[in-house]
Amino acid sequence: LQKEPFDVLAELLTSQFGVDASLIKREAVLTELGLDSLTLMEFIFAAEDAFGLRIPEEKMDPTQAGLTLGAICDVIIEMKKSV
Amino acid sequence: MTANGVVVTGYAQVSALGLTLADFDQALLDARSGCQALDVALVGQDPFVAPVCASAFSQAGLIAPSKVPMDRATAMALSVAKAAVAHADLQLDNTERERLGVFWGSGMAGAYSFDNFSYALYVEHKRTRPTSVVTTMPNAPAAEISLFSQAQGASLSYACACASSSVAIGEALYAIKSGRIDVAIVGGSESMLTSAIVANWNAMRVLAAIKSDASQACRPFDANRTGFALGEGAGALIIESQAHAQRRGARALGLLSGYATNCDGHHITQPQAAGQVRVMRQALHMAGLQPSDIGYINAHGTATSAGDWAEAQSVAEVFGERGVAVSSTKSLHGHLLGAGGVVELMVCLRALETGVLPSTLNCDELDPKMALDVIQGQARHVKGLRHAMSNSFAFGGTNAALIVSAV
Repeated sequence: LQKEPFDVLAELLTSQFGVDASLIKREAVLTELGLDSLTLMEFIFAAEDAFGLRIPEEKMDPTQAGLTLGAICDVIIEMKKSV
Repeated sequence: MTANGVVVTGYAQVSALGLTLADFDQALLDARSGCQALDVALVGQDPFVAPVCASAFSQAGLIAPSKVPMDRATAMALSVAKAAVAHADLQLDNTERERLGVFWGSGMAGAYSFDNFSYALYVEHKRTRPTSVVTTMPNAPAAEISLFSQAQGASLSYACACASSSVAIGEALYAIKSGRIDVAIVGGSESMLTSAIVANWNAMRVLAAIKSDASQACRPFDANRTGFALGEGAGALIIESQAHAQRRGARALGLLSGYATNCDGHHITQPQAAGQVRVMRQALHMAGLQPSDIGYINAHGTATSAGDWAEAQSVAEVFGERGVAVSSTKSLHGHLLGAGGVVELMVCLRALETGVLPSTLNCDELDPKMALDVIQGQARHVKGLRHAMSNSFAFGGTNAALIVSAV
């Protein structure tokens, strides 16, 4: 059974970035989960590697304020569909 | 004890000797080697077999305070720093952070990850990561320990090859004695057992030859020594002013009574007895001790032909022929490079506590040129050990000697 993209991202956040699982929600803002600009980039790289894709900047600006986990998840779902 | 003495109040290590203090003591008592044979076959290189002492340490589940991926050595460093803080019962929340420092040694910090990242780039054609720089920077171990402990007094990294952590400990001792800080997390870490790094060491022809059993390859002070085994590990001490330790009711596990560092100024790799003689005498002078006061020396004892011979001469000159019990524990834990000084000082601290002077595994036939009292065969049990010395003599010519004393 393939994991849902959200669960893959959640597992990355807990296992590699030490984020408390109880805080992980679609509407969670990544910088409020303790990720700074550098570790946010690291997280996006890790997510892209996990799904074998690259998110183009026009689809998502990783430096935008208030970027939520749900927003990243939606972009990944959309890109996976078009593969 | 002097009024402005600096005491050790906690320690921890990980190495091939184990992950706990009990494992460490037992391995030293039994002279149990952590050395194994590593087959290295790289394209373009002659295949070879090297003796290595790997640690069972696992960084799974350990997340850096920075959340940046950790080099294996950094993870070891953070792990032992946390364990040493717990061992010392140092309550960080009650510690004045501006007077807490981190002093850390490493010979090739970040090398493990740097090698893996380069492999990923050049061979696997994977893209590099945004955090690669901060994962591999030589001060990453000190930085993560500083973040964990919120130390604001100092965060300093020392790279003096095999003497790195001895120098880190000694310079922290001076920082406390000068009144700049009260307490420090000190030590060193090293993890370099990748094929490429082992190949670099092998090419230097300093690694011990394996005849049949890897655990017999490294033979300090033995007539048939051929070199060392590469190890990996980390060690941390908590050191603090005696006044600070007393204020918080901490138990002192030893007095850090003497330290000196100097340089041969002679050769990039070849040791020189004269510099070693001076550094041991300088450390004795700082401690206010005579050579006859030292009951045990944990030698640098790398088991290279030139290294052991230089040290045999310098120890005999300072302490007299067969004047002091000496052992090298490198045949057990391997050459820990940046972590060597601190782990070997821990051997001395445990000797003060337990009275066990570990033997020199594989020194079956002492080199007849050497007028040394090398502990061979079984560990020696002594009563009333007061002072012990740890020597570290590095590539680059840096020498360091540390003395710990019973309190």
